[in-house]
Amino acid sequence: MKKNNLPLILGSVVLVIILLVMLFPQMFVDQSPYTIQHMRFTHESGKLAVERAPFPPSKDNFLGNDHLGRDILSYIIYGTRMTISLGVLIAIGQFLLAIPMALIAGFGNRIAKSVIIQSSVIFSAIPALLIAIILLKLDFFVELDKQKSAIAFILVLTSVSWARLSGLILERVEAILTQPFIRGEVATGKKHIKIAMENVMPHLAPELIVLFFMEIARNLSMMMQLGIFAVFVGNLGLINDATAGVPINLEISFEPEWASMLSTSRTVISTAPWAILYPALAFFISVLGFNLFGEGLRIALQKKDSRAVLVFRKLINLDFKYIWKNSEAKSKNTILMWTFGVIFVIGLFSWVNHEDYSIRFGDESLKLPEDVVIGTESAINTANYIASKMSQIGIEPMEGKNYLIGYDIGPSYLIESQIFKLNILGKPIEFEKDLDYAFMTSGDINETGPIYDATHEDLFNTQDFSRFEDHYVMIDKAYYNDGAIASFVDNISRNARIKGVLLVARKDEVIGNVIVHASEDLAVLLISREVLDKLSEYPDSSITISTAVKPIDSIGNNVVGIFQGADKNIGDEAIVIGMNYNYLESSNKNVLDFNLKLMEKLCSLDSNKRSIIFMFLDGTINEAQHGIHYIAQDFPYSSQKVQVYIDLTGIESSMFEKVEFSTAQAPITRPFAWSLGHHLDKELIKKGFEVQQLETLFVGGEYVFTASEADNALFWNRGMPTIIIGTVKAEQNTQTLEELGSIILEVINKNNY
Amino acid sequence: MTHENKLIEVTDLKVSFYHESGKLQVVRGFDMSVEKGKIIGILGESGSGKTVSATSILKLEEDDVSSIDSGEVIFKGLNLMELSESELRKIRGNRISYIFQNASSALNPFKSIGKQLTEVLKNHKLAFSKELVLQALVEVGIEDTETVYDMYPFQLSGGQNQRIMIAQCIISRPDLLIADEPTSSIDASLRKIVLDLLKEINKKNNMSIIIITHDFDVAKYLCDRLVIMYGGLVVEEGPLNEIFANPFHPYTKELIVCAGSLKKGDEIVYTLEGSPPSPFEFADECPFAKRCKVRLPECTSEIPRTLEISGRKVRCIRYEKR
Amino acid sequence: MQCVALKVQDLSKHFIIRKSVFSKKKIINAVNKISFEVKQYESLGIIGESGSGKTTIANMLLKLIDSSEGSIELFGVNITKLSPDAMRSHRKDIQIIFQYTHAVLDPKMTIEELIKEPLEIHKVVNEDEYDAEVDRLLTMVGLSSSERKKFPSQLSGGQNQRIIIARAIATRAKLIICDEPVSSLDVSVQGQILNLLVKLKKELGLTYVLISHDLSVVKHMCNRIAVMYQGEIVELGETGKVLSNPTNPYTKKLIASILD
Repeated sequence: MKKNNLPLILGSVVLVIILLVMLFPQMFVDQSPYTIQHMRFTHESGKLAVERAPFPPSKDNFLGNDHLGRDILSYIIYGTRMTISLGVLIAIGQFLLAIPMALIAGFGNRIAKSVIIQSSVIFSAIPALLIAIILLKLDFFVELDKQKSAIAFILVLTSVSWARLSGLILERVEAILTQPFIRGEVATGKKHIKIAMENVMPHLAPELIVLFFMEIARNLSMMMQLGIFAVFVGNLGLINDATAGVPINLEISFEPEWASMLSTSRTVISTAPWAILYPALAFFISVLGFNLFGEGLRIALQKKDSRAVLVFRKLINLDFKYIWKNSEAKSKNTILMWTFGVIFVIGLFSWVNHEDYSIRFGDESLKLPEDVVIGTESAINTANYIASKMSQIGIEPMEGKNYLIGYDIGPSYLIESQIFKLNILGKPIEFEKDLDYAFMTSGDINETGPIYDATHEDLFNTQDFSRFEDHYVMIDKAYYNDGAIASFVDNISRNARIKGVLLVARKDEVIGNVIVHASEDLAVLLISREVLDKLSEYPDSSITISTAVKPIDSIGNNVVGIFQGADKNIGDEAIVIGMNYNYLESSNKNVLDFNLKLMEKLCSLDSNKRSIIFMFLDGTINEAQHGIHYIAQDFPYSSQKVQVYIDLTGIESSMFEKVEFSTAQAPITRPFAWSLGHHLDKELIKKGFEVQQLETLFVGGEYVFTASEADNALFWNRGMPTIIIGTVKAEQNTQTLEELGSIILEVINKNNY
Repeated sequence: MTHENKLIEVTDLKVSFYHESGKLQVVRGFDMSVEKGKIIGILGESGSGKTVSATSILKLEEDDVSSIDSGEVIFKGLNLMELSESELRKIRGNRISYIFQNASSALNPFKSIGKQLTEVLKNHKLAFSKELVLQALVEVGIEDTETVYDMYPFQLSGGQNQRIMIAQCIISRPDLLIADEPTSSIDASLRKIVLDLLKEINKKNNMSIIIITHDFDVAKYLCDRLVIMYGGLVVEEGPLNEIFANPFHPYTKELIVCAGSLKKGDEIVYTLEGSPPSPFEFADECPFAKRCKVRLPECTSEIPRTLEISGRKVRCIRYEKR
Repeated sequence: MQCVALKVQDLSKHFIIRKSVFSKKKIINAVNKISFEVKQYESLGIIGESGSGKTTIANMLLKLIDSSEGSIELFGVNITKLSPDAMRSHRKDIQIIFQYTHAVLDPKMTIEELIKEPLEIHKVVNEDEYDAEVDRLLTMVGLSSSERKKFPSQLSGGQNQRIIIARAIATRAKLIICDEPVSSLDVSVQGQILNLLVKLKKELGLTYVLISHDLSVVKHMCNRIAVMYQGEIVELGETGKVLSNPTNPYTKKLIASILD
């Protein structure tokens, strides 16, 4: 009686589903696993109600959310890849160790045999689980990054469980070696290794294959148990709560993985049982699937005279030519059909799934000016062009009808030429602009004078200003904040006729300027610390400065628009993207083109749940006139609803070597921004970008960027979590914007589901 | 040959085995009868269905492995095929005993000989005593029975164990003893002794014996009647002497020549080309047709019917014509 | 003058049995100081009941197990102390025909693979001649090349026995040990194999050492006979002489056990 191999069929169905989920997780859920929805607003009977995660299963979150606000379903789906791969890799590790050892021992090597026996005795006396917990809980393992952590995980679990497997295989090998035909093979003069490969392995194969799948199942359940003990790959072990004096760790993995879900949610099992039930169910189904498949295979492989064995022997002896040559026409067709079938299905899936994230720019039809500088005519034209583009795409203005939000930058000049030199007898030292110094305030000036070094003076309590008379006053910014500096400069210039002010830049402060505040009689320069050293070497020498300036309009224009989110719940939450539209060199107009295309593309993706606010900031080439400062003071949207600010103003070149990137102002307390940041980080590294972190200071529990005040503007003024992406100019330009853009697009899109 | 004389009569027994791709009939027609006090030999080569036929009499094959498709086994007026498992259990080992091929493994190595033999009696709720056991040991030719009674199987030689085995089968005084290749796993020098023993038991107790063997010499030495099987069918049946003197079936004729040739010392042994068909090759034709030297075209058209010729049976188309 | 194919001197095999660490060592003399010679082209029959050490001798001659004492000379080469690697090259000269039992041929190998194997190991012919050589060997043992792709389980006992013979002669072995070559076969098939062995002996000039418990087989095949009893050769001589005029009591008993 022919019976259907039910276990094999059921097992294969489960495994095929698992495989598809692993390959194409995006097919199964439309939410990104990195998406975090911590709070939810509902309008019930006209009242605004706020709910906090964990949310029970609902229409939107099919399996509910955990207490961190992560969608369980998408986390499980995306976690499949990591979890199952780990199970499989551990099994592979075990077999790679167990089979050769068992074969060597089977052929009478005493050392190998006693290693197997002793190891399995040790690991059966002390449960492997216990050893794994102890080892993997060591700080050494906990502190490893994801990849190393995964490797450590695999190594530890392999080494605690291979011996038992090897013992099983050894038993079989010994049984096979007592079979009568082995005597025949030896009598023919066959070498041991050949007997092992050609005679023992084929007899072992059915059991090995079955064992392999059973081992995977075993490993998965081991991982599940470890998860309950808070041992999993990429364990962050963040301190969640230390109020009672005892630090309570929030065991969380930054990577979707099932075991970590069990661990993270075990504290809320009574209030949110779904958060632990469904990951456990996922484990259960896969364990069952692998076991069923293994069992089914055993039934199939136990059939006598199976041709599969012949193929297997050739396979392990790497004789592919033989397999092809000796398969009959019918099976050849079957093989071909299957191959094409599999390729077709995979192709179909990837085609259906492929959201096009590529960005093409450098469009010649776009007539962009050669340079765009704040206050100039080209800036106004460009701003209007961007506004028209926005209205074309369907981006609405923020307030009223105007996309352009103007701000007063005061009377300003564009510097056309500038000189700053130290007059030493014989050979004056000429400093280099935008490296050694930069004008902040100036008019058309050409003057020489001595320096008064006030870097070591207490400027707060100055009464007598006469000593500054006719000098260039040098002040160290490191000791004061910006407000203090501004008042000193104002005070000194009003009380004494000074020639100018030299401000010594703070460490890491960017020096460079094209636009200066208009002032015919006072020059303010920012100088580097190297210049300070140079000037201190020659305290009695005079300096000469000269500039030629051109007046510009005193109005800057930020072009701001909002693309309304589609979701009724979270539609008014916003992702803010800041971009620049000023540039000096014509080659960089590509960046503007890129920014426009990025905006267009983001709006064309069909999944925008949250609103996206696009800000094209004016004056980005100059710290003082940077549009961000003005918009930060009067932000046209509720700051609370802004989930993240993505600062792309640092993208200044279409070709670059490294990416400047920081999520320091997207802390874990701001989950959406935090997860988006991690997602970006992961993608950047995956795509091979060299990432350079921005320098920060740690102040009062938060980070401050030191390079530019503009970087801090929205976080420190408005409390918006900020992610900064920029480019680093270098000699070699190996990376392109297209690539970076597609990552940004993909990450924003996936997180905005 | 009156009906009352018949201890067991088997008619039209057909047995199938389950196989990956369906059922496979391995016994396609088995008829035999055993008279009281006679020794019947079932002679056949591997795959002829001789062992399956004999085990199916007692329904010894597992249900999920094989099925009895048809047939009647009348033992002392009872149709064994219609009995329940528990009723059969009362007959097995009690009224009908069975000596299996690999006899030595049938003894429990951890129990003394006396205990094992006593257990047989206890299992069948028969009267038991040490005397009965010792008597059975004597019957199978064991000397120093008192000592052997307390010994364990590993302390005895292979020949002695073989005897204990037989004692185990006859201690319940069965009406019928079925012995499957009783000499194949013992040494040549012991063969004759064991056969003589069986002969003696047969004579002394008037116990009927069915011997299943592939060895012509064994059958010739021991049996009163022969059932010759080939390809799952009984091809010839009759008294031993008559068969040897005048074999009917071509296969029997060839077999006798083959067996004689080696003994006579022919330089080239007379052989039968080909090999007996395996159950997979069974077809609706005379199973021997392929190897038969006197084959007729009709031989391959259907399975020949069994013909009765002067108290003997033969399954060959040639005799139908006469 | 015929050369000596095999010379065995004082060959012994002791098994040391120790039931537990506390019990005394028990030495079993499976084979005890046996000596015999086999000249090329002759056939020596070794007869004895199971447990008399016949199979142990076969295993020692093929160096499947090491001997405890004594020496074995194969065509003048002392192979007693050869390492497994050194022995491998001598294996093509001495081959064995096993008794056909379940799994004596690897059940997971095809007939083709089974016969090709000795060809590959000893590089008997060039690689491109393997197929032709397999065909030739199959024909030689009376099988058709249509059996090549089959597994041993798909063939009958007699056919499998022929495969075993084909493997043994594949290496062009000059000395073949036949270990119960027909005892598990049907009567109607036994003759075929015996005839085949006789035919191959003539055609290939083989030397046989035939191990059997069946007197009629030994009588048919061998010109000399060694009777073994409890690990020792109790009688050795021309077949006819030994059988017609046995001197040893065991030999007498053996001859008496023949059924008539």
